[in-house]
Amino acid sequence: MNVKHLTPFVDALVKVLNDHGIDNLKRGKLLKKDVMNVDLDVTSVVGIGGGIRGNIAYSLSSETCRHLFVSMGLVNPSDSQRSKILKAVGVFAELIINEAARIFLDGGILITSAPPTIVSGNEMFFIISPVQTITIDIETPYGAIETNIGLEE
Amino acid sequence: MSQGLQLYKPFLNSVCDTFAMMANIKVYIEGAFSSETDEITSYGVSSIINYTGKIKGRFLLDMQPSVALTLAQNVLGSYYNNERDEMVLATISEMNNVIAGNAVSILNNRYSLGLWLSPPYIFTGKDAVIVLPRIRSASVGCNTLYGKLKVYIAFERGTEK
Amino acid sequence: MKKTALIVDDSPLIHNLLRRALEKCNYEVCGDARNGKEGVELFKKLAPDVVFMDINMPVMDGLEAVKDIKDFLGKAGGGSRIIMLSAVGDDEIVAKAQELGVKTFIRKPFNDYKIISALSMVE
Repeated sequence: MNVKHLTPFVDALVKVLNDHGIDNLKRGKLLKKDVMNVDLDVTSVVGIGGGIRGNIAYSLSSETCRHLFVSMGLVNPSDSQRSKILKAVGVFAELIINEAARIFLDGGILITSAPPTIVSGNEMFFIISPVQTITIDIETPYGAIETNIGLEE
Repeated sequence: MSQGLQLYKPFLNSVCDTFAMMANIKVYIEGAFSSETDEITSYGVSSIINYTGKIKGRFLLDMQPSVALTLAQNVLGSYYNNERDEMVLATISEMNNVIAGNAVSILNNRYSLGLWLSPPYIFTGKDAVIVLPRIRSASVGCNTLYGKLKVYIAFERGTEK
Repeated sequence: MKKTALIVDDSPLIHNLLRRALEKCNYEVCGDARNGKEGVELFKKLAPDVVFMDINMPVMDGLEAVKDIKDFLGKAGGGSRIIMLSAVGDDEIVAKAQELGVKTFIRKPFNDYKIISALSMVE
């Protein structure tokens, strides 16, 4: 997988968080993942097409979701309904992918995206790419966000 | 036939054909398509594939673990007892690719929709709930000798000219 | 002597299914390639009797690989030894493959009968 095609998805996540006032982020290392077991209970997956094909997944815990999205203004502090939080995960993923698309376009690559799918559950196991999945953690003040990238190249 | 049904039918036919041809599993369709809420409780193993073109949408194949295990066993000729086995999930994911690829090519030939598939993804886990925002799905329940599955299909107007 | 087959497909599942079907037809799978580029390289090295070629693959797609094989074989052609195998059976793609000399197509899903029938057309 071309590293140049991985970083926009991470840079976009950082930019969206920064734009919504979430700072003090710690970026982990890019790691190859043989098996995509996810300990975090909420995952949003977005299919990518156009110049690059694949799937991108952002995973975080329910607690991280709640605190992060209240802080970002995506949900009201009084919103405790799980379905509202999960829908906000979809909005969050779309913000990131739109930003990633902008970064790719600046580099001359047009990507399209499908609406996100949000999955909530325990002991989740995913396959988002038949070839290889690359993972990177971003540590926020409210908990970790795990980015998994599976591109077909 | 309604426009929606014209788009859904190739997917359902492709599910039946692919299960029969590649896994020797007969699929019994239970009832007609109905509109779904955007929150789905998974049967256990779910595979999703997106398509984009003049219209875009999503195909979700959701099945009980017993169906997934039998399907992988019949296709690969080996015994599996855990739906979390990578080979089991990879098999279902590839079957979904074949199902959606076949349906999409029928739709392209029939309606010149220029649809292209994104790579499929698949997941399994405990108490999984799937939220599918923005595009409302139509679903139909199916049965096999080995357990239940459900087919969800969604379309919305795309952006390509 | 057994005839030889090269499988070019990015799906391990399809390799597995084809291998089983081909063994029943007394073929030996002499090579497994995961993309068109690997497929062309193995074709040059192994000179198989028949090639099962997927269309949509990473790195190099099946149509491009058929073109390279055709160029490699020169006047001898090569399309007649290739069976295109894909989920995407759009008329337009089939027409492009036919222009390259491919005469036999199998649309996924397939079973052993479709494979036997396709082999009888290239033998």
